[in-house]
Amino acid sequence: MTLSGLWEKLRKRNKKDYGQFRFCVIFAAALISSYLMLIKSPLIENALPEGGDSGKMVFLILGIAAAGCVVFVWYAAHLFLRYKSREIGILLALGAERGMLRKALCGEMIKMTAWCAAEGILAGAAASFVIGKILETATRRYQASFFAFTLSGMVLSLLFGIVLVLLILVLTAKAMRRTNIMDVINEQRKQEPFRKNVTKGYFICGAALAAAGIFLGYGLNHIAVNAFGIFLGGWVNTFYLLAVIGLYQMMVYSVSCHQKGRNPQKYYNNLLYYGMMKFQGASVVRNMLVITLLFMGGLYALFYMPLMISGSVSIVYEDEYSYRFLNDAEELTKMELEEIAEETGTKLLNYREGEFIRVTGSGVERDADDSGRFIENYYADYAEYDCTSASQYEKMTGIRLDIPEGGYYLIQLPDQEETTWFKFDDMDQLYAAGEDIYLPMKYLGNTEYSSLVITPDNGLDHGSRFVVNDRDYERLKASLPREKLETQVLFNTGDGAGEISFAKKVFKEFVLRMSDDMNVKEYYNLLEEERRGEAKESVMKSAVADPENPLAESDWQYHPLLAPLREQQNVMGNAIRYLLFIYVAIICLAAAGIIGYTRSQSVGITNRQFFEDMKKLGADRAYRKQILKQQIGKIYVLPAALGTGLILGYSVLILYMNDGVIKPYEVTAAGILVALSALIGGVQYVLYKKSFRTVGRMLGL
Amino acid sequence: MLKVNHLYKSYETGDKSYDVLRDVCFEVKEGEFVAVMGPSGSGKTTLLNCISCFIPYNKGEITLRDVRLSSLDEKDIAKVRNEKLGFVFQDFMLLDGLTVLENVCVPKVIRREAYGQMEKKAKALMNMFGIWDIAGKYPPEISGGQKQRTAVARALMNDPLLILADEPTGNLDSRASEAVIGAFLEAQKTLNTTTFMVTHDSFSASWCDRVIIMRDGRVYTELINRGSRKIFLEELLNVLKVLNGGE
Ligand SMILES: Nc1ncnc2c1ncn2[C@@H]1O[C@H](COP(=O)(O)OP(=O)(O)OP(=O)(O)O)[C@@H](O)[C@H]1O
Ligand SMILES: [Mg+2]
Repeated sequence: MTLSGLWEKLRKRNKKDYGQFRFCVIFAAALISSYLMLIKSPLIENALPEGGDSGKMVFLILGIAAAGCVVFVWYAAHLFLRYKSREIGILLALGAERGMLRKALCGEMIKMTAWCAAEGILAGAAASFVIGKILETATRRYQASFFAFTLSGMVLSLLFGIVLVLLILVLTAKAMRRTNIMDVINEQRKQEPFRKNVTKGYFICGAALAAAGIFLGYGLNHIAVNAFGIFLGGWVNTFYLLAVIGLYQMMVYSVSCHQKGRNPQKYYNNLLYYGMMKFQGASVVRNMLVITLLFMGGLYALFYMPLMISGSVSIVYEDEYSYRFLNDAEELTKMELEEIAEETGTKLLNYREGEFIRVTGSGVERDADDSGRFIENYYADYAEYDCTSASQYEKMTGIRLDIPEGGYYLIQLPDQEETTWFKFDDMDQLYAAGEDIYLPMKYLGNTEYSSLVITPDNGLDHGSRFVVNDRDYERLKASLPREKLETQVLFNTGDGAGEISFAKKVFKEFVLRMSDDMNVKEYYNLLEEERRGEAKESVMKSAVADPENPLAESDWQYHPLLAPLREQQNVMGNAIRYLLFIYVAIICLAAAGIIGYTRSQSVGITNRQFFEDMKKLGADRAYRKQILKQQIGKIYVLPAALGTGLILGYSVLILYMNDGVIKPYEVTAAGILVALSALIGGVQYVLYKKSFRTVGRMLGL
Repeated sequence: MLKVNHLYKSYETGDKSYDVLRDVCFEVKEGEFVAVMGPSGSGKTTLLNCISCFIPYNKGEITLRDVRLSSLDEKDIAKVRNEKLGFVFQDFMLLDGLTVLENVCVPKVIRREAYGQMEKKAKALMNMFGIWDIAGKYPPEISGGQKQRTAVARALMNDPLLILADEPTGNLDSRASEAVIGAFLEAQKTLNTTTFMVTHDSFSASWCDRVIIMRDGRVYTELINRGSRKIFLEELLNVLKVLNGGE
């Protein structure tokens, strides 16, 4: 027999410890690699262009997911090394060289982790294939990409596998470096007592901190802007940390406050339980906190979907197709559009054209300065706005507006409201270039027509579009060059399968034919640039999307509304977002579950002697079970309840706060959230039962 | 061969510090069989752990054959432990995943010895302690006394120069105790092995050449066996009576 043979033998006997650790590594590798292979597949890459918000979110979530996986692998490895440390300690005591043992253990761990990572990546590939194919089939109507494995997806998965192996290697080496053999031998029952004597004041302090943290983190900006006109900025979110500290203190109290006080009977009833906690409290609380936070993360991700569905107001467009272009561009004529329609098997309906002009006008810039003070600046030449005349507007929309000279209407979506940053009446004068004078303008109200609100910022700020009196319109238009004249096109298509390919062709032609002045980003405001004295050729220019890829998100100022494509984009975008959030939810909840499960086993190991002694002292099975239940319950019940309660409360708060009332569909959403919480609670309960049984068996209960 | 000079050791618990060994001095000569006795908590196990270099100590010096243990590097200490020392721990320290036979073989496995030789030696020792018939069992499946005999067999595997044993007879009936003591005496006679043994059992201690009595972390007194076991036993019992009576 050799040392490695001996090692092999020990592994076979301790199959269960190994199994748990291996499961965690496989699970982590499978989750991350399936995620990577999905987001790197053409199916999703084509829908998420570089630099877009969704693209950033995908990577943010990847980061969260990877961190979550690393955390639970860490826990599993830790527990596993605890199982191993006794063996190592004994061998060391009997004179095995540390270097030799380290080599053997590290070698074994690397081999095992690498195998598990490989298995995980294979499983991840299979999972990503299944999910990808389902997604592909479900969205077939909207897009032409296929799910496929890519090199980058595989390489990144492999990299994650390597990271896992390295992590394990570091942890193993660290565990081996411990010099004191007795510590290693006793590692399995290593304990850290609480230093402090925990009193009620401690609990109150924690509760106060938690409340203050949530209040400050959530409401401070809100209050500051409303009361003092000061926007404090994103750093306010760090107040949430106070809440975390408060949570920690409350948990410490919950496991360790134990004084004889007013109820000595209770004191003695719980004596054993608190006695055990005295030495394990610190690590128990740390675990509870991690589990609570993971729970909150997972539930938040899970709630994202119902919250988003209930939060998004779907806009009803009067016309399926709406776009505008500057008149110096040679854009598609009606005849050309009809040709494309015929080619693709659809029909042009209700085609209308109208005229807008680009006119310089005043506006208000609102911002927060470095010290957080809210500032408002009025500029006479704030931006170039789209303006049309009342008669042109009626021709396009059929809406008749009575507008006296010097008055204007703002074209808006239904039910639009002013925001902190933009007011409806921000514009009060327009520049008539022919006469070189400013015409004072008065805001009369909004006129609602969604298909004409396709400009940036939902038709506010420099994307505002105005309807003015016909005579004012002529004065403003006089001596404007051709590139300041704009054509607005509105139409529908007849039913037919061809509308998607029709829309794609229109998009492509539209992009290819635009003029230079149209090639700007959403946020680009020529006058703002001149005001700030920046170079004219700014980075904000040249925004435009890929003519071949209308699905891609873009921040193009002249992006056309092509309803079939938009719908397609929404479907794809939402599908992807949901998928990602479900991933995060799974990872967080799985991590919480795994940590809870491994932790309860630690409870078993740590207290084996204790339970043995209890038995010898004559404690019956029921009593010992009761004590174990209390111990394991601490890990499962309180964190789950706290995490769920907090997130549920927070979500309902969001549902309420977004518009100040609870609407029927929001009640439905809240119901779904509660149902989801109940489901997760159920899973948690099953896990709790299983832990209880496993540890019970371990302790001979 | 073993010298302990002005040894101090304290444990830190929370913000308190407990002095467990205070200025312990003694010497064990080559081939001597020495027992350490004393009330529970007097620091016997701690002393043994310091000698084995399992735990660090605060002050003082321990030399083994004129080598200062604190001057050795890890690799050398490992070699010393494996080849020169044999251990019997108070709570046995058997590997639960290995059979009794395999556990006994571990010191030789670490030394990378040939399989046949290993088993022969193990069989001889295990027969001597009456555990050969449980060779295939695992530690959780055997009794405390059997575990102890396994641990003693393991300690003798490499024919150590110095045996450090913490209550090797604590769990044994008188016949098994005699076998253990007999094995130590046998090793002393044939291999000139030195034995340093902690025990509560005056009867076992009476076989020794010398008994060091500890109290409150100090060497309280030493008794030397001048040839007659009976007289020595009586002396021992007298001292212990005084000690336990609180004097
Ligand atoms: N890890 C430790 N941390 C703190 N104190 C300890 C530790 N180990 C032992 N002690 C204390 O050191 C003192 C001596 O312990 P030791 O185990 O050496 O006693 P002992 O003489 O072997 O007793 P016994 O005969 O009961 O085995 C005891 O008071 C004990 O409480
Ligand atoms: Mg002891």
